[in-house]
Amino acid sequence: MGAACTAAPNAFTRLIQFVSTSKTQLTELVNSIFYTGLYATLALGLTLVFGVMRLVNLAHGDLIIAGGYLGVFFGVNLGLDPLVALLLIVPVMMALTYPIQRGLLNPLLAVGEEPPLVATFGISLVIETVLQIGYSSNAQSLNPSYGVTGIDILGTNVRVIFVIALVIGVILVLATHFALTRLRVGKALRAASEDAEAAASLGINVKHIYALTFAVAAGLSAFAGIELGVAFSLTPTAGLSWLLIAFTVIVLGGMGSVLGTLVGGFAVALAQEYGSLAFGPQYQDLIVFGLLVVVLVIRPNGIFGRRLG
Amino acid sequence: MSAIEETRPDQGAALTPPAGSQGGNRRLASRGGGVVAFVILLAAIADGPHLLGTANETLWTTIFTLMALAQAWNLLGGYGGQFSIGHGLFVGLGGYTSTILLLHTGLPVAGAIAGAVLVSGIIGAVSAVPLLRLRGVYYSVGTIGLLLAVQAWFTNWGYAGQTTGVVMPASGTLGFNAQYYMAAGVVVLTTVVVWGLVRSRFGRRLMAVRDDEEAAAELGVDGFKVKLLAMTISAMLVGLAGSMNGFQQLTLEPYSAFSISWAINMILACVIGGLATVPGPLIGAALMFELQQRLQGSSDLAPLVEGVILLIVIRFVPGGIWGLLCRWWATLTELVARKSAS
Amino acid sequence: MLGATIPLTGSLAAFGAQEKIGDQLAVAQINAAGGVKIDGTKHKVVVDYLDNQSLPNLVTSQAHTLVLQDHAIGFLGTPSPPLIIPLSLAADQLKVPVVHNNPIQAWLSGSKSGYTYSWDVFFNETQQTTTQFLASDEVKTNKKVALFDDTTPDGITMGKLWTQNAPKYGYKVVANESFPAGTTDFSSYIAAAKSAGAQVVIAQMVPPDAEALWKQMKADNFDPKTAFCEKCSYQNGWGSALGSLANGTMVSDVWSPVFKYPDYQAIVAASKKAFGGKINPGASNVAGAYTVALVLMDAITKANSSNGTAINKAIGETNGMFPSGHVKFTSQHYYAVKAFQTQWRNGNTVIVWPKVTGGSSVQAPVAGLK
Repeated sequence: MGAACTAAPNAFTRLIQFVSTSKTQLTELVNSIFYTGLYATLALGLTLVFGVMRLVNLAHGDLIIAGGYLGVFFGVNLGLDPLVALLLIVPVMMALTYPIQRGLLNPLLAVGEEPPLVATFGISLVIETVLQIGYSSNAQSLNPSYGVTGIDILGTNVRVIFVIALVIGVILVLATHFALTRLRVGKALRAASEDAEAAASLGINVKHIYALTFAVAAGLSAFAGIELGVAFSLTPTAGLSWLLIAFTVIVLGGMGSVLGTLVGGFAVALAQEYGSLAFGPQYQDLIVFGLLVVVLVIRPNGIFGRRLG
Repeated sequence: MSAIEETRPDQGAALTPPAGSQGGNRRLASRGGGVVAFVILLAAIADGPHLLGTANETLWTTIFTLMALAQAWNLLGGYGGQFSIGHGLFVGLGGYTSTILLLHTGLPVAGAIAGAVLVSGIIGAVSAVPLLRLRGVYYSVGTIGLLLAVQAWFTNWGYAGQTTGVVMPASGTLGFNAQYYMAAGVVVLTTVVVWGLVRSRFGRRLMAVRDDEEAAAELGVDGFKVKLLAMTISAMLVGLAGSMNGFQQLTLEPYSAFSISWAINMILACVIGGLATVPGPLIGAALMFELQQRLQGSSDLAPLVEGVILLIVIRFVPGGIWGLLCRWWATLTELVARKSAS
Repeated sequence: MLGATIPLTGSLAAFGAQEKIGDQLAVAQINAAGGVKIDGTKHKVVVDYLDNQSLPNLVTSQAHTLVLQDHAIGFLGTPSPPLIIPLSLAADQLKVPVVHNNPIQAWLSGSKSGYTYSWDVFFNETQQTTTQFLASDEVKTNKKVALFDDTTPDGITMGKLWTQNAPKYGYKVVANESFPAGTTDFSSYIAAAKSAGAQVVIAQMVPPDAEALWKQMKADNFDPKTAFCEKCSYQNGWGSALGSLANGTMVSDVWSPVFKYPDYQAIVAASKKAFGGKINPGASNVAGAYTVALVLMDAITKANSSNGTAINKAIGETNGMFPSGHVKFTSQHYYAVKAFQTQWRNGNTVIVWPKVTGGSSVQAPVAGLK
């Protein structure tokens, strides 16, 4: 099959070009920094749920997208700016997801490792179809002014939404970290994550703690959903690709580590930016997956290991 | 009903024979009954084209292919405990390989199919080496990554037609009857292979590793080797069914050939039908196909209904439909036994 | 009974919905006159629709169901090469004809030996890919072109042709960006186009991707003199989803009410009703579907039979005026409609090249991206 392996030669020539130019690659660095906020927010809910319950929520990407669609809903029906709409979206998402954990996932967590995984799979299907029925598969997008204006940072044009996302991301990460380490509910969460039975015997309502975690994760994900809707677009089946990115972020940053999402987010953004530069932008996704598989095989617990907080 | 199934304790009750000679006779009877039922089934399948007519024949070709896919996945997923969400990889590889072989070489159809099985097996074995070191959900996510990587490769590969894909040449354009018999053969073969493997020592080892890999290691079972074999065989069987799909579709392009939805359907079929059972995937695949046919007008609803059924099954009926049927059968035979004793 | 496997959901849903409107107009017209004639008697026409969700995997099995189970005697088309290629192959296998609207070269690329039972009424990319340069000639540009093409069959076909045609018209392709469908981040591509100084943007993408690209171009202050969005802006959703951002985008089109072809008033009325009072490529999609449905039904009556091969022969003999113009098929089973350029203005599109009565002239720079 020496015929047309056209893919490889293109990638190779770009790699050679990349290595031999001495142009300052400041653009990629700046872009990576500003992507960190979005990526950290994408991953925050996933790492929280994993940290507390050792559950990888396969419906995580769909919950993010659902939050974005709620933004479309409130934008159309109440004329709300997407970021303002979050005041409504977060409570709605939390209210919807609390019972899912309490009624469906909690009992399954007691059974074994696979049933809850399969259940999140089923939840993912349900969310995707509901969104499809409600909004069809045409791409929806949120169009406030900060989605289409850019500002100049160190010679690179950065869209305002990414600046906002960085600020939001850092605030959310620090707030979550603070809550986990200083507040009482955070300590209860960490106790439950280390040893659920011991926590229960200490009087901690583990069932409620789990459900609360799931709900908070969904609420945090809504921020990411809005950002995605403004920066890109929303389709009912987009959840999977964002789940994969979020998963890569937490694998790199540490499964269960909240501060790690910033590190992991930055790392994934760097890999994407420099990878596209080196091999060509059509390989962007491939590079991230390759990175994910490599890290999973070499160090499944991530660079920073797995501990909640 | 056929012979006793082995299932996980928390996946639903197994059919346990009552003790004593009465139980022994009943077991013999049920085994004999199972063989007779199997033969009747084979005869019915063989007469398919006559019984069904062309329209239904094509539908059954599809159903058989879906059943075979689910059955093959179950070997690795249900019995092996490794949930591959990227299993569509081998569907695409099987289809593309047989089509490309027919396009570019003088191989006959049988040779092209053999090539599909071989390529799937090789890729399955090679990818298993890094992937099987991952447990649980890490493995699942790893398989997704591999699937998407291969998909991206095919969309850029000129030899495979990039995004336009490949079109089946005349030598591979088979009549509806031929497709029907091939698909029927594939599902029978796959079921027999899985049934046989599960019953063998290999099968017991596989399930031991699935249930507790450390304990199995202490008993001298090399978990990696066992799972590697399971993954290779599963990949080969999926590749076989995948090439059947290629003959039906007549044209393949990367996004649909290497789609995540293949594995999603396999998982749905197995969980709903009964994980780690032999009839389970068959029942699940048939049920889902029927559902999709009925809801074809409002196709938005089909995945929703499937998702809801999945949630209900996983929460309340973990043994799947087959597990449920077995329990009812057990209750029924108990009642009959008590009646005849009194 | 006619069959249609069309994308009512999925990334191509916009096109499927528009086709359905066009089909229904044609069916209503024929049924008002009693229906199609088969073996001497008139039968009312019914169309059986199946949603293929924009997934090529479903097309073949749906085609089988429509013919073998539901006894369809002809297929109405489905949009875009990944869907029409399997449908055309199934049509050949089942010996039931299909008439459709799809870019001709991309459709032909799906079969080296051509098709027997598949017929196409649309533009030929060899002509269509010259119109962007001719339209840009109407205004002052530096003749530097940035191409944004996805790697779908349409993107590859048109991308190659644009690269070939550019020098013939004195244009230079300074940035040639290609990416898979489903890409969301175009910042590196836009940066390349900007640094190369391109003032003409020609894109071939699916609607969701193009919407993201346009928003990013605006944010990046990338301000081309002319911008074309082929396929992406060839549907009503372009104006309704992007609002003022859509203004100024140009797209090749094959139908316009100003030509006053048969049934144009019905098409205008139905389109205004469906698309919020606007006339844009949504109406052209409707017109195209109207045409192919009429061609198919006329052929059934001419063949006076429900036999696929007889109907197929009659389609080949088509020679008359339809909503899309005077349809006559070549030996390769297509009728190439002349493509022209239209420009989006507040939800409507007007012909800007060539200059015709009822049309307008090219406005530059691109209003929405300024």
